[in-house]
Amino acid sequence: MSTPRITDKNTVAVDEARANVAEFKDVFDRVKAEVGKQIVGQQAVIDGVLTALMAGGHVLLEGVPGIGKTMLVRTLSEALRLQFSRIQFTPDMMPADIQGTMVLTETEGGGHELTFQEGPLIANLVLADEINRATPKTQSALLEAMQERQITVGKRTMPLPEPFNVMATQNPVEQEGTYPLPEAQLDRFLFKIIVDYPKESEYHEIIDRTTGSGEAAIEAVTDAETIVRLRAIARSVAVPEAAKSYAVRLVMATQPHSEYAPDGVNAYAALGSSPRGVQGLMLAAKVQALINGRFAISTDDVKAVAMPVLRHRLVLNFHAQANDVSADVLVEDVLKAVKVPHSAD
Amino acid sequence: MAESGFTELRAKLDTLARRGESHLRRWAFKRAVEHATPGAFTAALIVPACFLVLSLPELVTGTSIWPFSHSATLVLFIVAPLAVFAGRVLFHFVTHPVDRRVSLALFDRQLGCRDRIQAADEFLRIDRPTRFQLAAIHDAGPFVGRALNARLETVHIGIPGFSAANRRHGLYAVGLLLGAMLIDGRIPPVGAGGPGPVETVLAEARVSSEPDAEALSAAAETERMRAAVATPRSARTVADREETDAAAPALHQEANTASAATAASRSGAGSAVSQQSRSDNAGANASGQAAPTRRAERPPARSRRPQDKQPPSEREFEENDESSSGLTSGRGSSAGSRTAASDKQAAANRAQRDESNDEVYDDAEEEEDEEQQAAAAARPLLNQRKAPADRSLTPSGSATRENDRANGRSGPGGLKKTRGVAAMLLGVPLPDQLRGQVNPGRMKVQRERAEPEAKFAGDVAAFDRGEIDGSIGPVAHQGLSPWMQDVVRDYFLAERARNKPTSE
Repeated sequence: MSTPRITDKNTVAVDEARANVAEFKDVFDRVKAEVGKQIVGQQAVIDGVLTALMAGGHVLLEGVPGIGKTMLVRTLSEALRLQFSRIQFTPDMMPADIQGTMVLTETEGGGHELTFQEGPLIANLVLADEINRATPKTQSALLEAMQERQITVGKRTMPLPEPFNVMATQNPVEQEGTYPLPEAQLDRFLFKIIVDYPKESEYHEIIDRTTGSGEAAIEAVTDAETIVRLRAIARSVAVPEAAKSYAVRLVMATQPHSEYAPDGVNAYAALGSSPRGVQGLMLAAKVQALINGRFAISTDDVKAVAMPVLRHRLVLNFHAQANDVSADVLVEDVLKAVKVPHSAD
Repeated sequence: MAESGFTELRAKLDTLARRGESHLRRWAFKRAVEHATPGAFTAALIVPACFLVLSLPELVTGTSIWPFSHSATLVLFIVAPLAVFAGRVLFHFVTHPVDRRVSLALFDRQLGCRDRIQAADEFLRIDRPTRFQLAAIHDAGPFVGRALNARLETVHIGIPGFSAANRRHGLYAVGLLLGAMLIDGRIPPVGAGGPGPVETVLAEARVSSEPDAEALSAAAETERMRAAVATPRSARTVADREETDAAAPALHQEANTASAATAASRSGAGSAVSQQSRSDNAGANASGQAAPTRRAERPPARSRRPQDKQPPSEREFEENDESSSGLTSGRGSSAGSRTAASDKQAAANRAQRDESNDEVYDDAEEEEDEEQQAAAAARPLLNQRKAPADRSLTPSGSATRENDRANGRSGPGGLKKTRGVAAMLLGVPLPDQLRGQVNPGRMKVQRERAEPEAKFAGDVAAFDRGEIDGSIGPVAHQGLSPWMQDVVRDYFLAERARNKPTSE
């Protein structure tokens, strides 16, 4: 064990890291400000969506109709100057409708050939509106795109453009004629964000902005290349052992009958988070550390992103449904039960 | 920071770690004391409890098997909890070592550094840190400086507060110790410095009078049994009874004195008396066997009770009445528990009862008994005679009336007595037929061969039956059985109640 020495190279590296953090924070704040021109309130939702975007994860927005989910994603695409597409999922939609299909086209020489007609899934930012109205077959078409960031049509496999993000929305109340997302697909979302009603003071601002004559003009403050670079910066954030252990314990605590599982999880959870959960915790915590101007994540960063990362990875059993116990309650139990390693508490 | 390098930062972190470690050790000691205190109070119960348990046999055998003296017991009483306390504190210390990371996390928490100090200490141990790790080390520099100037919260280590449970355990321990010492006799009872004159006299009397008591009891019992077998009650004279009655209280008094001495001495003599009593009452049941022992061990203090101011004969009369009549009065004795002593008392009671009654009553009773015995051989008792039953079976004018004298045998009336074999037969008619046979008795089957012969059948012309339309009339449904109707009705009533909207 030797203490690293201060060298010119190290000094440069430190300065570079500081510049990266400053750039990240600057872009994040500017995007947030632009989105804030259109969306009133919902700061936690905007932070969550931007965090997931910078971490390279997909977001599932859940909320009742009319609270601005679709507008948020559309505004975000405008502020980021990303290729945006919207898919309104319906029960009769087929995988080819979103991925694309081979069509017969006429060549210049008068012949015919099969060419690939791209679907709306091939874009930087995809708004999958009311994703739970599509059949499982169509929902499954998103699996490969969300995880491997590529689509396979016939014998052709095509990579999706970077950055690629799926922002899906679903309505929690209208369950008639819907197909609940399978666990495999839920696991692929980095965040599940609950969009709640605005506060009373925010209603006044909503009225002024949306029923007046003027419209908020959204300016693009960054582009796709910058987003890709910021994602690389986020992955460079240092991870101390304590924060890593804490994230592992949190994920293990969501698994019933594990070493750290509290009683609530043992009683009401059928399945816990997969290793994707701890990956999501680390990535989101890194973004959180950058937003706060730090070079290493802390256990507080992990704790801050634990709820949106873990809530949709818990599969509840029948006892939980009968006793009206939600996944949020179990995650709160986990956060209370799991102690921070090497802490002075 | 840049000039001094990371070495200086590492030295500062070491200083912080030592301060944090010292602070945490004090905390750990405080926690260890808090954890060990309840165990020590609980351990304080061990020595008194053992002392008490091992002293209990002294109540029976007179010898204690507790091996320690009074002073040694007190020393053990104090040393045992202290040893448990020290052991638990040591165990807590050994099993809860102070980690350097925790020591640094202490300053992270106090200064709100978001794990910067802890992370910097960790990254300083990496040979080739990344640019973000280097930046994190640099970033922690100002926070380390602040931490060096920060004062940690002072940990006061004092006597831990005694909880209610601890106080309760301490009181139990002291109470147990005092109780055990009282039993063991090492602390004399309050108000009595040593054995008094009464105990001394009783102890001497125990040794000297035990054989006499047994001999007196045996002699009195033998005399009583001989008198009861040889002489009938009616033939005993008043003079005999007076003689017996005069001897009985004296014998009883002597036996009581011997029993009291036995109880006071709490020695093996008591068991000897009990054995003698049990031998006299071999047929008594188990509960009855315990009674003489209790009676023999009755302390002499009982004779000082107020009821003893009555004449001795009356008191004994009452007591023996209870025992001889089998009334237990909740004291566990029974008629089967009569012993030699109680038999002697019963004999004395009978004598006293005879003596207390009038002599004239005895003479009249004897004369009446003799008259009855003489008349029983001559003729039946007249007062038990009844009118003979009317055996007339002939119908007569009075046949319509119930004959009270018929005694249930004949004629009109209510229930008749049934006698003989007919009364034992069932009155149910049984068919003279075996189950599974069409006819009573056996059946003969005879087979005959017959040739088939052709029969003529005419032609049947087909015809149109026409189209079936219109009402086919009511369609019969199989009716539901009553229990199915109940099930259906209950189901729909429950459904209606469940779907009924609440009035609120």
